Amino acid sequence: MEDLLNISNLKTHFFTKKGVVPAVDGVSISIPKSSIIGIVGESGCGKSMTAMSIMQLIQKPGKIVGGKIQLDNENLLSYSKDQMRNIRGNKISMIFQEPMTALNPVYTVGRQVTEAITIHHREIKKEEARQKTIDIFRAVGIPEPEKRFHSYPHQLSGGLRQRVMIGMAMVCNPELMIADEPTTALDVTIEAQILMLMKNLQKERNTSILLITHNLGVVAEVCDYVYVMYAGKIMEQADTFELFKNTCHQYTDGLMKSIPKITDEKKRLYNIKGMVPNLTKLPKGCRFCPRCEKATPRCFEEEPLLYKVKGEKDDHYVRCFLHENSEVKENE
Amino acid sequence: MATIKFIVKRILISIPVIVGVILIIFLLLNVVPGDPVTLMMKEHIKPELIEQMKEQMGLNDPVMVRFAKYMKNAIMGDFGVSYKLNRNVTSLILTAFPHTVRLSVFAALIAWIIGIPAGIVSAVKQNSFTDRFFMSFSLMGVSMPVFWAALMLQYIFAFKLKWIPVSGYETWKHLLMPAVVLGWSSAGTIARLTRSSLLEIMKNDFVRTARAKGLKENAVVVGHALKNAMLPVVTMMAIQVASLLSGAVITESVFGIPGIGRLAVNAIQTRDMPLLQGTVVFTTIIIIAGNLVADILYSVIDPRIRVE
Repeated sequence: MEDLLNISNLKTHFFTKKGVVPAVDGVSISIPKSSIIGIVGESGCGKSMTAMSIMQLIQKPGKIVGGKIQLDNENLLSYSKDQMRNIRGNKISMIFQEPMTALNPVYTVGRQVTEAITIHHREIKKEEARQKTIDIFRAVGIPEPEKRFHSYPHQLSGGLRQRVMIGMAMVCNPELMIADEPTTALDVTIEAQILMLMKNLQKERNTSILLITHNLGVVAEVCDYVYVMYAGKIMEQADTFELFKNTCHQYTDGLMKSIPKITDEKKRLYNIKGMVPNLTKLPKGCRFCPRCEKATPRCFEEEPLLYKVKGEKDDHYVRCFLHENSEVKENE
Repeated sequence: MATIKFIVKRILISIPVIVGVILIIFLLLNVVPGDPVTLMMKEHIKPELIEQMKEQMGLNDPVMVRFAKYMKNAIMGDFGVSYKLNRNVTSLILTAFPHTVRLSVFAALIAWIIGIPAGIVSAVKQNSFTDRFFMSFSLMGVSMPVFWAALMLQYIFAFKLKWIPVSGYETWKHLLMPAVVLGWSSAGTIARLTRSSLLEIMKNDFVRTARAKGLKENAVVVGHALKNAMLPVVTMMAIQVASLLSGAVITESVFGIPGIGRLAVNAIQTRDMPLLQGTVVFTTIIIIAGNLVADILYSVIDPRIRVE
């Protein structure tokens, strides 16, 4: 399938007093048209920074130091500030983890969504923008949209606020919506509703979604293809079914085992030993080796590449010497 | 409707505050040495005459009796007659007040027009040269004693350069220096508060949302962050205006402006109790009103605390 967004070898570093932090260190991601792609990883693995890099919203002391982000065969990193502003909210939009704080408390939600329209479409009249906002509120399942238009964020529940955020992100019919942990702050029943909503919108409007989460359950539910990130690098990437069926990387395996199961209630919950490494003092070899149960002396010396896995689907890659072969992903 | 109810409630609550302030000032003036009659009559008058005078003016009555009498008249709007000036206190205050208002408005405008933009620019360009310049300028405003700044301005602009008159109260030129002196220190406070408040607000998630919408950085700051950041600033502004309106005691004295502040100073010097009590009550009412305005503005800006 044709790619909508193509990230190759993206590097976003933070220049702090304690040293350079390579938060995103050579990440390559492809997002095909009308697909849902997941990025999974622990807190601080660089998944949010990848998203913020796509939007070019990295704040100082962070900086994108290398790579390409191509949307419709144009490199966004070569865009001017004004060109990039025209992309944000219009062609690529974003929703965030905390619906409680992501909306401005002193303006009505209607006004905030209307604004998203009028920034990019000057020609749209106020009344028309209002109508569009009410329509999108209805589309994202907000009851009594005319009344809710005049509500302030604090008058809405967490689930409704996230619906407003999704509405704001979808109102300009973007080609890509980035969802950074959209359901983490919500309770489980609401989470399921929001995920369903996003999946339906994606189908109806042919928008691609880049879903960032730490929850493999969420990935299994909605994603077509998954990237597993650790310490700024992609560790494994595969079709969702393939990833669950034929887990190759020890880190992915650890994440899978960490999902609590209802059947084995008496056991202690599984956890991956050790801690996420300090990004200013990364180990010399594989970034995961200090925590890996199958690490060999070589893992501490050399860094593995993304090797192709021989499985049912042919787009499964893993960064581990246990699967070393001659077929390596390009850009490595 | 709810707002009116809120205002009425606040006004009712402030009545005991005003009564309490009058009581305290009564008790304080009672323990202050020196009585008005002796001061008025100088020392070469017969002691019997002073006693007689005191008796006549009701100064020998117990404090509580005098307090009750005063309160009874005050409720009717009568704050007594000034000992020294022999004029109705209410009319004295109402004559002085417009002068103080003029000075306050002038000073407040200077403070806002300079303070708020300086705070915004300093926050946006944090740690830049502009930021440091504005912040040291406002630090000066905040930390210079008003009388010193006033004397320095008089020395430079009036005495040396002869651009503006030293003191007095005839043209707008006379108002310039006192307004700058007062405005400078207010501007300093406002600039620092705006800066720190805006910096704090810019860390919020909704600022990121505004950027993600594709808004220009200026629109993010002015359109989204500023309204939130103004909450503490507006409170500060209302309280500052209230305190300016209740008379800039030092500034008015240094520059010879016949406002509330100078009226109060004169009243203290001459132990003119009715006049002093009058100005204190007036000041109290202004401060209470200022706080009320701040609370109302607060709820206008922030829907979360709007009374429902």
